[in-house]
Amino acid sequence: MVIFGASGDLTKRKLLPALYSLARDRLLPNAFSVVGFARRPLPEWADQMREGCDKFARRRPVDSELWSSFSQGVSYVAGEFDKLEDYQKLKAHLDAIDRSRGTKGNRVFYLSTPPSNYPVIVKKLGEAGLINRDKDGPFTRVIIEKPFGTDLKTATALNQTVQSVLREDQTYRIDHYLGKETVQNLFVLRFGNTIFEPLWNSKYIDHVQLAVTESIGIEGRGGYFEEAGMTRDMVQNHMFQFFSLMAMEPPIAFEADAVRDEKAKVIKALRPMSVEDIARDVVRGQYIEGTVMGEKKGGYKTEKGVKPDSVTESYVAMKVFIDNWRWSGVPFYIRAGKALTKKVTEIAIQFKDAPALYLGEQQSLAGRGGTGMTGIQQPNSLIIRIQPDEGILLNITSKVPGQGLEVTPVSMDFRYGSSFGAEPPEAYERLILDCMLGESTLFTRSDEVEASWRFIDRIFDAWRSGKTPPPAPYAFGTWGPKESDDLLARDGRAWRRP
Amino acid sequence: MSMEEFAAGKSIPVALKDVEKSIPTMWRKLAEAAKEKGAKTAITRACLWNLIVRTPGGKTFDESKQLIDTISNSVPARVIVLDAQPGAPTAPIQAWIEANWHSGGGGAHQIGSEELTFKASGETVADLASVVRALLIGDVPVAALWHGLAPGNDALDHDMLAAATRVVIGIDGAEETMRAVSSLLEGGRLRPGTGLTSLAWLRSAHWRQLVAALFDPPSEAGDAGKVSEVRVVCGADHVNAALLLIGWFAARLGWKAGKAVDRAAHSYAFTGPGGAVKAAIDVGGTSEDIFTRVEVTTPDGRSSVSRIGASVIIETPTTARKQPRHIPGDAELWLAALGARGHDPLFIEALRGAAALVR
Repeated sequence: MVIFGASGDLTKRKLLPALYSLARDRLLPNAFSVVGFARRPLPEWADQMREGCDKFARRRPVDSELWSSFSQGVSYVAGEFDKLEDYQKLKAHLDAIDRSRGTKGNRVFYLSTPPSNYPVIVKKLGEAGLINRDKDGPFTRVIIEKPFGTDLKTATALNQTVQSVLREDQTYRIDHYLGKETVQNLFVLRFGNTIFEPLWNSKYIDHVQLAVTESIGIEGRGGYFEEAGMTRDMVQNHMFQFFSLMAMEPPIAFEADAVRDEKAKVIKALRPMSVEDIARDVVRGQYIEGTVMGEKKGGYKTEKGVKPDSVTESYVAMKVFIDNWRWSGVPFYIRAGKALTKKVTEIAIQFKDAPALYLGEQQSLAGRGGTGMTGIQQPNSLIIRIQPDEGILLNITSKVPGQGLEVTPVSMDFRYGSSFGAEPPEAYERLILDCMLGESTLFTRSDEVEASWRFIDRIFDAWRSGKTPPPAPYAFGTWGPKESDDLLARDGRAWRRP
Repeated sequence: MSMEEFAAGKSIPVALKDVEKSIPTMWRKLAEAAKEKGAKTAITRACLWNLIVRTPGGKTFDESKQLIDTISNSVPARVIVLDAQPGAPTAPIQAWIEANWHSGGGGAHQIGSEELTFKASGETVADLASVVRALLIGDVPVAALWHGLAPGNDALDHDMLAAATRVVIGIDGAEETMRAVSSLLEGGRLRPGTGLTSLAWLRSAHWRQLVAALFDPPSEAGDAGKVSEVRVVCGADHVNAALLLIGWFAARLGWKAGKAVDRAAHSYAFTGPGGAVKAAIDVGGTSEDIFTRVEVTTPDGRSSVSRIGASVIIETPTTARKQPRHIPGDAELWLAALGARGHDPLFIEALRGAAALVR
């Protein structure tokens, strides 16, 4: 595996620790080798990676004996992303590894650089003869980190460049959310059980809430975030990915194209929004100073690299509809934000209310006698918690022990950590291994990417038109702007308190 | 931070920023340890309520901690205990986590729930609001209990009220407290459907039952409508409970236009279905029980319930009987507040009636 952008944070925090964990779980072949590629000469790269594993690997402390064996396959090549001769140097290095370690020409290239470098790297890999397009012989696969473009135009251009060099089945657009256990368990939950799927439609589901909330601000990444914003950073990629898994039709098999066909259909079925729809149903916000977990924090505009008149959204909430038979009329409320009360990623499926026939007040109004039910009766909800504490939670109404018919919500809660007594593997472990095995189900296909940009682009166009409200302020550490609460309140609903 | 200490139910100091992470980490470690020992079901972590207990610190805080240990046997909850002293010099927020364990019964394994404790003083009390907000477990009802003080208007109280589906006032005391509590009924301070109760109200439940029984046969229930005077004798620290009792009379017997005649003397007047009604609180009682005596006057004479020793004497113009008096402990009342009795519409009516007297 060759990692482009080897000196970056992702490599140290996630990629090398994931590879080490795979080695520790004996899931990598002995010959496995990893080559770092970046501009700066870094003779101490292997040591830095060891430090990364010490700090961030799932299983710590690092086993010195294992590291000693693993590190024999760790090497580094310094080179410019746009210089063909540096790719030729890389090719010679890889050929030498093939000979010395027996890697047989199989290559995975991991693009973990700033996205602007993706086209040139892919082109140069092709020009240097590092890509084998033949289905026979050693494999070449390329993993591309998000973002895949910044809008439909750039995403389409990137896809065209990639496809000029690689087959689609050699392209692994990684979205690490898809590597999370709970996201994968969505498939099992829906199609491995009989009790959910009959209810998974507009007849029984009132609405769905998807949330990705963070309790930190942009933490000095103003330069990046000013260009991206929350919608590009979270909604277009991560959220649409687990959203489509949650809403898709049953695929004919748990196989890459079958699953991705169904996911793409969901995104394509999103009801396009007019400027008026966006003004009404999409709320953007920007945090101002506040307090989170007892700590005072500054506002978005005080962050490094943020323009004083910035209108970049650190919070976005929207109501969307999927125009297909299953989801007709069911609103999907999506919210993503930084500097909120706590860090949560979840999908909450709220079922319709049970008939209120037996509520005390209702019985009394109808003169039916009896005391009826008192207390808190809430509609059932199924929560798929992606982070933290990956798990699934089903809320039901139950009688409180004792006299009368007092009811209260109770939860049936399943957590990976405490139920299986083990921490699930890191998302990157699963996805890197899948790529090595040629399994692309959990990676994003070009048509999904383009369909999601097609939908999101309308929102950016509307925001640029000046016909929609500017970002609403909200205090750091709260649950977002009031306008976001109003979005649901207009429909007689409220955001969950996750 | 050691798993052994957590498993033993000890209170473990934690840096504030690490509280959120520490809890799942502890449960996970326990699960892994149980699995290594061959347990089929690793552990059970139970939670029926988020219970936020705000105390002014000192003795009340210590009492609260003990009560939580007791009630967690019956009601597993994520308890957030706050020692908030806004009048003290400012100091950083301190945090502790601990587990409360009890047996699942019938040979079942241990069931555990969480207790998070925070101490703040001076300006950092306001910051506790953000701590509480972040630590509530989603999908679990929230009970907010003020122990030893009444809800005020600071950021912490505001957030506790905004999150709560059950509000419990754990203080008796003077008229000012009644004003603070009754203000909860105004201006949408409570979420719709929130259950509101007070420990004083729950503590007086047996007394209300005994007073209501004064009108049981052979007296006529209709006599209740002819009550012309009520006198409640209690200790000075139970004035609120006495006001609530009078509010309850007013609500149940249809007395209108309640007002204070002489606030210092705790003398009140109403218009009942049968004419003018006088009510009075005599603070010359003892603090042994919530009330010392309740007298009710009708055209047929005076009836009363009196606390004497460990018993109560129930007297009507025609009968007299004695029965044992059970004084509920605070833990029993906290449990009642979290159960069906914590959502009692009669309390709201009584509170409205009492509020009219202190307005």
